[in-house]
Amino acid sequence: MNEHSNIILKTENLCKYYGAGDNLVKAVDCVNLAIKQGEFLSIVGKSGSGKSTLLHMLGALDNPTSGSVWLDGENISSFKENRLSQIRRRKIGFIFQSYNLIPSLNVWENIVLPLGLDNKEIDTSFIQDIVKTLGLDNKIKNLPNTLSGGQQQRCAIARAIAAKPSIILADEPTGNLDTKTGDEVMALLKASAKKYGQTLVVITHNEEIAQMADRTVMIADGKVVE
Amino acid sequence: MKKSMNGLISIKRIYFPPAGIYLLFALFISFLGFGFLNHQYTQRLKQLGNITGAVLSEDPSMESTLLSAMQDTTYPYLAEGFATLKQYGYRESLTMYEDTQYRSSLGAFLFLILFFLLISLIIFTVCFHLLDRNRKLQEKWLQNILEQFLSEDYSFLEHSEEIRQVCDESFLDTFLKLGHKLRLKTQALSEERDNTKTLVTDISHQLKTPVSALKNCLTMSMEAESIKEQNAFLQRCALQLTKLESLMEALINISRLETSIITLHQEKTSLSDILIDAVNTVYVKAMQKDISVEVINPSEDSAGNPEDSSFLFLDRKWTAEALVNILDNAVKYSPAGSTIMIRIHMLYTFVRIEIEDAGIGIPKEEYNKIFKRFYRGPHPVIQQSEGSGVGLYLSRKIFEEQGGSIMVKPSLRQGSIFVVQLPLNLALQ
Repeated sequence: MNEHSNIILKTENLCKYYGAGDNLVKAVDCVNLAIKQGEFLSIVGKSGSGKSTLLHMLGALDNPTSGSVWLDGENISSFKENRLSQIRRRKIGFIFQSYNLIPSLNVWENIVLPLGLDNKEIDTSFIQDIVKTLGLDNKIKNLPNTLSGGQQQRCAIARAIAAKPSIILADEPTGNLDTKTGDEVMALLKASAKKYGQTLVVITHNEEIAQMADRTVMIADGKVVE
Repeated sequence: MKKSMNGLISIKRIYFPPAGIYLLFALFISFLGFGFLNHQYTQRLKQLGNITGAVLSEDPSMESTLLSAMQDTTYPYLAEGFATLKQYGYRESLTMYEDTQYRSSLGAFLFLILFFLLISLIIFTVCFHLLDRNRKLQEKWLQNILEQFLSEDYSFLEHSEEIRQVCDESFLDTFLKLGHKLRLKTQALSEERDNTKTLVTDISHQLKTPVSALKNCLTMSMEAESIKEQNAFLQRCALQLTKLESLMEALINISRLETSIITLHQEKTSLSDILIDAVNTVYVKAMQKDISVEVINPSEDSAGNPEDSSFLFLDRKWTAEALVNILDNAVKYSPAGSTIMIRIHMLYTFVRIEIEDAGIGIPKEEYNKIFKRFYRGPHPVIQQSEGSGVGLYLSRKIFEEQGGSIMVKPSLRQGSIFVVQLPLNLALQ
């Protein structure tokens, strides 16, 4: 068995440039990254270092200027938009700093929304298990605006896990939370990704949080400095 | 694999062309039928006109009789009419087939229907055959892939793109997931094997230094010229032996945990019991350095009894051991007379245990390294003190096995704060 066979996500000379000439900004500059299945990777960098752009390209939310992203052995940078959105729904779970919950839907509805969009049958017992794991059992009828920041982020985590994606991408998941809640949310994210066998990629500028990861990659000026 | 796949025809290509031909043919037949009907109608109209004209040109007064004969559906003149017509071969019971005028077109129509049925049969047979062949090929392909999986060859997962167009998408997705899961398991197994290998290498490497030091001391003491010198070397031997002993103990723990000989028995335990066990273990060492250990637990009531919420599902012995490793470091690197603070915070799904020392602190660059096996910081104080670089690694492992985590933060009073988070919720473990 060859070494690269359990790589779930990798980039090859991935670049994202904005502007041209003197105004050329290299947001992501020739990044080669390989993420193993089941791994918890943290990508650390200051704001403006290009880490969010990198995550967006890993999650097929943005097109690279050049280079490629391989997910599950498929070069997703060559895919058309409808195929990409299918991949985003089925294979990737997203968690954002600002939770991105739908304000008019309650916790349960927010969690199962992506499944409904994909016409998937809802595995109720699985979702109930997630909800219990994340300590949301008595909040499922609540609307997002009645929850604390930590609870909203739990809900977003549950939503990301619900579709059983193979990879979870989190962009500053603790950015809006106080230290204790943030640490707890990270511990929860780590434990639940482990429980459900998911690969976890977390982007953060917080080096303390990055310690929880199996591996940390530093990014500066769009380049990886390990 | 590729060969068997090449034979597969996409479902669309099996269904669409025959369905197209079939539809066109049906349309053609319908048009033909319509034309036939239309032809008959105009023919009948012409005959009617002709008969009316013939009768009226002979006798114009017959008009009203003719009109009523045309409209009356009880056919009162039928018998008389056929009485005359009989001479020309027409009778009431004449079938369409016996009429030469109709016979040819009827024959053509029947032939067409037969032809249509035949074509349908051919199309269905071809479709069925292709589908059957496809199914057999798919089965063969599936078996092929499964056999590859059995022999731990997962190269298919990298080349699944070509099969996508000839296979049911949701089936393929589930199949791919199965493949990935199997691959992960296989990988985990071989990783475990590698881990054990490196562990053995690491352990033997760790043992080398103290053993050779011990050997040197022994040689020196045997070659010593005076009893006093001999005793001094023997004392060093004893020191090395103690070191070796503690190293051995750590290594045994780590190897047991790594090779999963130790299974953590998670049972209902009170956090206070674990903390008491842990603090008691380091108490003597702390006393010797005049270091006090203070536990702040806001969830305890005034009598010092913990509330129900501080019951956790943990392995009491090993969790205490993990905390001891942290406390041991705190005592080792904190100055005499300082205080080690242990703060407990009950969070939503985790209990947060902060252990703050007044020690030498840990530089940010080393945050990730201190939890690695056999890592010891470059700081001279660390290098001079005893230790094997196993403690924190072991602690992290014990916490993570139980769904928890550990990290380090800088303390405002120059030392470090170790933050341990352990799940309150059994569902997380």
